[in-house]
Amino acid sequence: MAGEEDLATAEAEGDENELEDEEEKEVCEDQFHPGSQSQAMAPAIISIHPNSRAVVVSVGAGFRVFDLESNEAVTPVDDSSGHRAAIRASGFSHDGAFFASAGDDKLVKLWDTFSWKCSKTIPVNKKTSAVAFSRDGQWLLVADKFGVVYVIPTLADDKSDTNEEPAQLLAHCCSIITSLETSPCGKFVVTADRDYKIRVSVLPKNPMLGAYEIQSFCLGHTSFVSCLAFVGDGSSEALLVSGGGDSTIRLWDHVSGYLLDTVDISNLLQTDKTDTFVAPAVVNMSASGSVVASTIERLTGVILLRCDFGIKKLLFLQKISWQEPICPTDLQFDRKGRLWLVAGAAETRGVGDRALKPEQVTELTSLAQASAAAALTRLRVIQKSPATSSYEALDDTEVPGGDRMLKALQGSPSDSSVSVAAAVAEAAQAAELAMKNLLSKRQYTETHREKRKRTRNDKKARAATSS
Amino acid sequence: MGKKKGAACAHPRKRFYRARAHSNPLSDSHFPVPVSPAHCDWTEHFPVLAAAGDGSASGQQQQQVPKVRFADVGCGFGGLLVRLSDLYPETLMIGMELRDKVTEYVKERIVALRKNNPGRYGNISVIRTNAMKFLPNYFDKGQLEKMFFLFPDPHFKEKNHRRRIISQGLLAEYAYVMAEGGILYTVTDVQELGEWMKSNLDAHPLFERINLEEQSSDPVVEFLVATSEEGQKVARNRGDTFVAVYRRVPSPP
Repeated sequence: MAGEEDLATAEAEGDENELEDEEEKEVCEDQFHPGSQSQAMAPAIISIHPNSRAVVVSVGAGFRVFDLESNEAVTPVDDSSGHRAAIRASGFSHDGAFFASAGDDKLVKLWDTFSWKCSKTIPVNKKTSAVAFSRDGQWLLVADKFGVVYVIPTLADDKSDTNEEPAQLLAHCCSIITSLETSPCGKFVVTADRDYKIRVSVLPKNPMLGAYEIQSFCLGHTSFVSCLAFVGDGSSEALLVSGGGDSTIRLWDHVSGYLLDTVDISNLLQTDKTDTFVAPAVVNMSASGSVVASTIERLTGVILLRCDFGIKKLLFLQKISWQEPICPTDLQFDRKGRLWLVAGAAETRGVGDRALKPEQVTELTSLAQASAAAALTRLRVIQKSPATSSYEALDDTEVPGGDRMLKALQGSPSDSSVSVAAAVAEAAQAAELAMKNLLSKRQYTETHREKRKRTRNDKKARAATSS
Repeated sequence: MGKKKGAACAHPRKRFYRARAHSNPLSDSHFPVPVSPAHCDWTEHFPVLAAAGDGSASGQQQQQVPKVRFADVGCGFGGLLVRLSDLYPETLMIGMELRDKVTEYVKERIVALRKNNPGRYGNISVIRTNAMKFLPNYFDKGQLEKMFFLFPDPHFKEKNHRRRIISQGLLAEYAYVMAEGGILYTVTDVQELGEWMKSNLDAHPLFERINLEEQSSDPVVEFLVATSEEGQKVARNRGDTFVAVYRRVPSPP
């Protein structure tokens, strides 16, 4: 990919790729020096309750809940006052009883979706990058940026010795796990990483003992894999779809690892290829039935594909784009076939490993929560029009929950003032860039590599002498 | 190492290929890695493949094209491969090594051996790669019949234990590339590491320790210590070695 040799950012963020414990120390130093260069922007993410009971938008360290049945915003209740850093992953269990949130503060929180109280907070070793529930709702799987997937029981087991230590389920050797999904049949857990790999592992009856058997590898992407989704349903028809930094969306038979179809997105979008053209990465995706919706880098809209299970191919369905210069950061179908998109971002600062005094924790948490509450997002809903049988973006007056929903989840009334749109667009763009930087491999020249090897320990020495 | 006087092709001298014993397995790779096993071109490694498969072979013939069956993970200077080459002349074997200079040494060594011994050593080769990250890129499910882990880096510090080549997470990958019934060999001179590897393998449902009788009758076992350069060093210093050999068994019901 072009433009990788941005040495200025490489020096600052290089350690992230090296995966050393130094990373945590660097980030920690920053938060105690407010005004110093802030870390990345964390994108807004959206989760819809399986019964369409509620919509949750997480941005920064907080999330906003809107109950679609009572048409009211809900304030989640947490005894430990919430997350301290950006939420990177969220999701509902398949029966809707649980909601999980996790991210940069190395805390995984489990919430009851009726009372919206936090029922469990589990500390983990590294920042979380993805979460998923097992299909039977008994286990929460949590993936981190070092390639490890942990399993946490969702229900308190009176028989066990209340050892809530998460157990390791599987590991991609030192590679950021970007996406984690369980198959509709419940037999497999699929993980995608930054090293172009998709791994399908057998989920055993007792996941706490580890997923020791790998079913297949789906290999074919020539860049980081950013997202996964299953098309089809619980019957034998389900197939795996993936999107990556190589600007392709691929269809796989996950049981055999066989690549069934590849859709080249840059060709699909037919953008003018200038000299500085960089094929846009696939950012995120969501599937419902045989339809896959996908957000693409620099696309102010969404692409819809349809899987034909007969010929086992992905066919172009529709491209929807809008006037607002906003690229969605996350999307999800609800079970009524409506596609919800959110755009927005908030600053994130890691918490590091340094032991904090309770007052410091409280201060951090309230700062993070305040920053999250102030963040603006933009929400849109796309629905299949019964008249034309094609997908259309709904106006702000037509969305479920209407004005109240938009106010609760966007953080501002739905009358579009230009400055709000600009702020959201800028934030979303920064978040997209941050994701790209994190997942792309840096191609250093030989001389630069040698220089990095020589000067690497200087940073440690300098930090040691200055502290 | 080869010191044949008046040889037609001089063997490489180790002193010109000195490298540190360690290489960081966690850093991003800057060597080419095949996208998938189907994309991996083995013909440049094994002359017999270059002759057989030139793309015009029929489907049936393609299936009979031999595949790599043995992998020496962390092959170092190639001692084991050289010895095994004669023991299994029909089997294709590959060494995987992370260090650049050491891989170059092994390549040159194999070139010299092939030249000096026409018809032999055509079944061994070496790749520079990170086996911890990219094993599934080279091998299909159930492809390997033997895997070797000779004198792996002990990574003594507890915080570095996650870098050890035998761990629960990685054993799932090794089980994936190995055929049922395939054999996995480990040997080390560090007792703690020996116990670590043994307990990890014991804990993994897809591996079973082979019994002593089978271990002593396996012709490969006696070579584990004697052939590798590390093993020879240990023998010279009269150290202890800890051997653990396991079979890849079918998934429990």
